[in-house]
Amino acid sequence: MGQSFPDYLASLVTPFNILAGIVVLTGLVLGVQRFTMGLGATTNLSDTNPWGLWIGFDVLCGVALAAGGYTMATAVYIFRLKEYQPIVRPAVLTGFLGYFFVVVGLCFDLGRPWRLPFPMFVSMGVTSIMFLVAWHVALYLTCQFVEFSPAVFEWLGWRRVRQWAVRLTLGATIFGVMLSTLHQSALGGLFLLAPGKLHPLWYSPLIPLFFFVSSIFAGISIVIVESTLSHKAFAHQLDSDDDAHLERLTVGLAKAASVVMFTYFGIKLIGLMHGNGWSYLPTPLGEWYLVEMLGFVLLPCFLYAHGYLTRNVTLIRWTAFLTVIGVIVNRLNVSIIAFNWQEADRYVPRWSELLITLAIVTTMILTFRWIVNRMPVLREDPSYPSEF
Amino acid sequence: METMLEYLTYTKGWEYIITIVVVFAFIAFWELLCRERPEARRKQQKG
Repeated sequence: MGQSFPDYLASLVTPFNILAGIVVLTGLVLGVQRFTMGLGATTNLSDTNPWGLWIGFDVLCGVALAAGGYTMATAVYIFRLKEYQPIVRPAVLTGFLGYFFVVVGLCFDLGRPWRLPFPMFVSMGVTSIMFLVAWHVALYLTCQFVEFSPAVFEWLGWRRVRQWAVRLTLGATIFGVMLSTLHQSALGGLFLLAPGKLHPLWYSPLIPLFFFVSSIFAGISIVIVESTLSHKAFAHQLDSDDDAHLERLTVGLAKAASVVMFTYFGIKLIGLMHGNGWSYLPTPLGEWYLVEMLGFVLLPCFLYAHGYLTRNVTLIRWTAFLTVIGVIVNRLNVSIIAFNWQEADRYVPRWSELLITLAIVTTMILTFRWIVNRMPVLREDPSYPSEF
Repeated sequence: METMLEYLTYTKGWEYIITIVVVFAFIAFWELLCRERPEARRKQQKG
């Protein structure tokens, strides 16, 4: 980037980089411990609680929050909402990295990463939801790479290959939406196997639909959060007009998110009635359920709507943060807090699980920054024609 | 609720009522969102 190597190394010494380096190094040491000494040495998982933070956060939250890629790609490439094009590449990149690090997190949980292809090719369980999820994540990662590849080829200067990649984008997006619809809901479908283990307020035959619909507003909200943070962190790459344009797009996204959240609240209410779960509401877990539904779904829904009606971008951005937290709370409720709720032996993550998760998230942020600093993600390369 | 029939009548009945309420509430919510607010539009154009 026009610097000598010693200058480049000196520019890397910042408080954020030092902290990130410590976290990643600690994660690496703990990762070695996990792969050499097993789950028992690094986690609080047991036969009663075989799924913990790495499934609940890294996989379930990771996949939901990576949904920004398919929501924005659908809006722009299929529904032709061309004004949202400037935020497609960062959204697809976030989605791609999100899914990639979901696989990394999954490797920590499963162990023996060299056997990842086994459920897909060798020992195929075609009636298992995990078989579907394994194939979908692999295929969707490929789709997202195709969608993002024009930026890579622009960076490399491969003009002809870039042309082919642009031609493939629409097909990859359509295939990607089909895959996302299925595997976002399939992750909820995993819990259909455990009606007796999941608390009745969270268990519902409609849970695949809950997971899919919530992934849409999770995706929209993470796009708002990511664009807000990256426009601050990479302000030097942007023109002064870009901020005003982003604010207009943020207002439009708020309207979409509020409509989807309202729909989600409605179907959750129908699901609650379907399971006749009212009697569980005046219990501690019932109160926690109300906090999730009212504080992290209905409240942000109305805040988004208010933000849209008054064109209050600051309110919309804070609401996006609240919504992202809400989606994380929901996935952790389903997979950890309300799971095995009748068991005396409750799972609490060990510090090493938390640190490995933190290291994975930090590595993802560092990778995102590395790519955005080099490839045309937030800015357009003027020597290449628009994809439209 | 003593019998399966009573249970199903109760849960399904409420489920249908809630579904209809949600559909009408959604229409009202959509109308609210689509209502143009000139002062908000001006604010955005200014910004």
